[in-house]
Amino acid sequence: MIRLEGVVKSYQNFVAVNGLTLHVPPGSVFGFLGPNGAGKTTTIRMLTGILEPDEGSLLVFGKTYRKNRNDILNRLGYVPDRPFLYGKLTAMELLRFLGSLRKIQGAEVQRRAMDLLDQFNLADFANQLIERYSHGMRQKLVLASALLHDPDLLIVDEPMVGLDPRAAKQVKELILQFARQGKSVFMSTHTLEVAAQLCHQVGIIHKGKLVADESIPNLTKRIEANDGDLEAVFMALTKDLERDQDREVVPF
Amino acid sequence: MIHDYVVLDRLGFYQLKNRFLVNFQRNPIVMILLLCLGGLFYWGYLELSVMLLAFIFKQPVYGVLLATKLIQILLFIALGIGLMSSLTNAIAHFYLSRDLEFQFSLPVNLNSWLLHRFFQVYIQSNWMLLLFGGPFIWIFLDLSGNNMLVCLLGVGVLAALSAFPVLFSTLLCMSLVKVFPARRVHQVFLVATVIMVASLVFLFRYLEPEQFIGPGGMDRFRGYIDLVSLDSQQWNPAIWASNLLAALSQKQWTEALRHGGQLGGAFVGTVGFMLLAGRRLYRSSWDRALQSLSGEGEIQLDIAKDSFLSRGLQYPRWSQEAREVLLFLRDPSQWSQVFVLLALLGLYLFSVTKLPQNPFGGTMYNLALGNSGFVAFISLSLASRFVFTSFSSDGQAIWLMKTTPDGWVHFVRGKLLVYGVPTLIFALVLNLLSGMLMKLTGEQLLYLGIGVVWDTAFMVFLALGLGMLFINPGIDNPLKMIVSTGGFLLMAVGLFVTLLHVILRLTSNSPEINLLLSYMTWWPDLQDGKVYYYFGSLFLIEALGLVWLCRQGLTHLRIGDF
Repeated sequence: MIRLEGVVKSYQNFVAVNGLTLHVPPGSVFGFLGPNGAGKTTTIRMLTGILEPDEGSLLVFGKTYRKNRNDILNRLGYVPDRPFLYGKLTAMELLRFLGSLRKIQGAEVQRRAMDLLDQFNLADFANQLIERYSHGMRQKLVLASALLHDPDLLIVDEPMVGLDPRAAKQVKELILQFARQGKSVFMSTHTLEVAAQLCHQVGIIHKGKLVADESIPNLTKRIEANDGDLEAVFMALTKDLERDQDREVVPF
Repeated sequence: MIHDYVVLDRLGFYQLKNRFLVNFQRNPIVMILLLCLGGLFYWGYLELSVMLLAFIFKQPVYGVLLATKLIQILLFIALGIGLMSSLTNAIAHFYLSRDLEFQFSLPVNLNSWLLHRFFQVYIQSNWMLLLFGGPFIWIFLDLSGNNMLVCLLGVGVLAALSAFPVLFSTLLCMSLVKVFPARRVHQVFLVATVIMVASLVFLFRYLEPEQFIGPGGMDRFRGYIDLVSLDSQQWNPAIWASNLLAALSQKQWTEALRHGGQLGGAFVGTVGFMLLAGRRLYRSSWDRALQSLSGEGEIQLDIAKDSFLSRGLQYPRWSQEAREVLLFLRDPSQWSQVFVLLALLGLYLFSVTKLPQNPFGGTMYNLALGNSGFVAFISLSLASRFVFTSFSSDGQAIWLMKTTPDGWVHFVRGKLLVYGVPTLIFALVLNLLSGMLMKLTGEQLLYLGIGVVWDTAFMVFLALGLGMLFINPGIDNPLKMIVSTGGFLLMAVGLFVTLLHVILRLTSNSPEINLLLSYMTWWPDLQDGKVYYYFGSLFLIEALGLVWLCRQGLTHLRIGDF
């Protein structure tokens, strides 16, 4: 579903992603972990076509963005960490608009939009301007918009941020259900507990490099070796973080 | 208290410095070019000011009096402009600024905080006034035979005078916000300011300033100046300041001391009053500031469930255009711009009806060609305000475009059709309408129309290209883009090319202007059809340049990191 080979991305003098190689098979939930500034968001931005890698190969559905951009984006749903939306549109208008960009029109988009808004308890607010929504409501609307076109791959950056416990539980169920349908989820998170609950495989990125790529059974073994603590495993893999972070601050 | 004030001001200074340095690091060549251009413009302004004041001073009998009167009127206008500008700035800085919540949580003295915000409003409202007005007063005092110290004191008088409207606006805003929502007050002030500015421009146009040029112009100017009597307004700080400057220019030191004491005393008293009253007023309206940050007081719109535009969003062919129009119509901050547009339209048509029949010995067609330059300036402002800023107006929601398969070309087409094409039609209608009022022939109208389409299309595509290249979705107010590096570049290139187009058209049509320019400058002889080679080459260069720019812009939209 996703295959990255030696992907490099730099910003001026700073290498954000440094020779990243990973593989996400169909039907799996891949948890992407790492400390702040490790290169998670840059990787996700490359996976969603927002950024182009400087080096290496990046394949989504076995295709490159350079040649098959529209094909990939038609089968991909993206949920960013911060739910920025057009505040002066209503939720229904936003979904209509996004549907039209993916050539879903008329009664079909209306039906799908209402179903999703209903599923996320937003149906009563469907015709209100998004600028009046709370953070959690916006987050749910972004999720709805990512699912509107029934994608085969969902890329989610920090899915639980800003959600109340009920909505968070709903999102977890949605992700698991998504994977059960043979589709894939690529999920970045800081919450180790969420990763342990949902993911089939976990990758830990540090200083732009993948320092661990483990299936959950393997990770469980490691956790058991560290007194049953996933946090301890994470800390051990990223132990030189503080020193490096000081060095990585780009001088003005 | 002083320590707190310095810390707060330093924060603002660092932000300003960093913004400048970031721009410089990103586009060093563009920044150097812009600085050079700005320096050249400012030098030109100073030279013109010296020439104008020296000319007035040289007039027999009434020269000095006329210059003093002129300064008095300018100070009066400066006070008015400062008042209008500081009203909107005060409410924005005291109640709508995003860093309020953060700064309220800091352990700083409230008086220091009030003074710091007051200084910010002062600088934001008056920097242009001080930049252009200061040297004008310096030149006035210098030509009166004063030394540098007195000239410097004169500039200080303007600086002190500029503080009065800020103090008044600050207290007025604080009082109003106790009763009305901050955002609503801001919107009302914004519209009122635009109407006032438009009225002032109309007033200026009504004077028909062209009558002051040529033989007898100076006498007519003196007649107008004599009509303006401000001496009766002894309560007005502008009069105190002008009396002080007049005394300084005539070296009447006792008088200068008296007026200086009057102005200085009032200044100190007003600052003290602001601190005492402002402290109380602001404390009691503190909550309003925080409420306004969460959108309280916004004009609430009733959204029709299935309006024509809302339905248009579901059609792939027109969804981008429908979205652009909906977002534009639902944003109240855009409405004040429509007032500006209507004011410009009215001003232009009014000007056309007042045109002299035999302008400076030329023909009406020459005047129409010259007028097309004026309209081009309006079109450039429109392209800058609407087309250029439209990309950054999408804000952080731009990720939606980056992750949907519709394609950037459609996205850019939406901007072009919704903002660019109306600009083009606006310019064309204005020019052709005025051309008809000037009784131009069909052939002349056609030639004029082609020229206007060329001018405006150039500006629209330039604004599109630069808007894509300099997109900044993170900016809190897209209007700030107008004064960004890209905005300045658009203005500089747009004005230069407009000027070139207009001069080319005029020199090819008028043998007199052609001769004058060839004689005075390096401008080539463009009569007998030679101009078409120049037009052709220029068109080719511009077209290729714009294609390159728009391609660069599209690439930046597609893979740029913003």
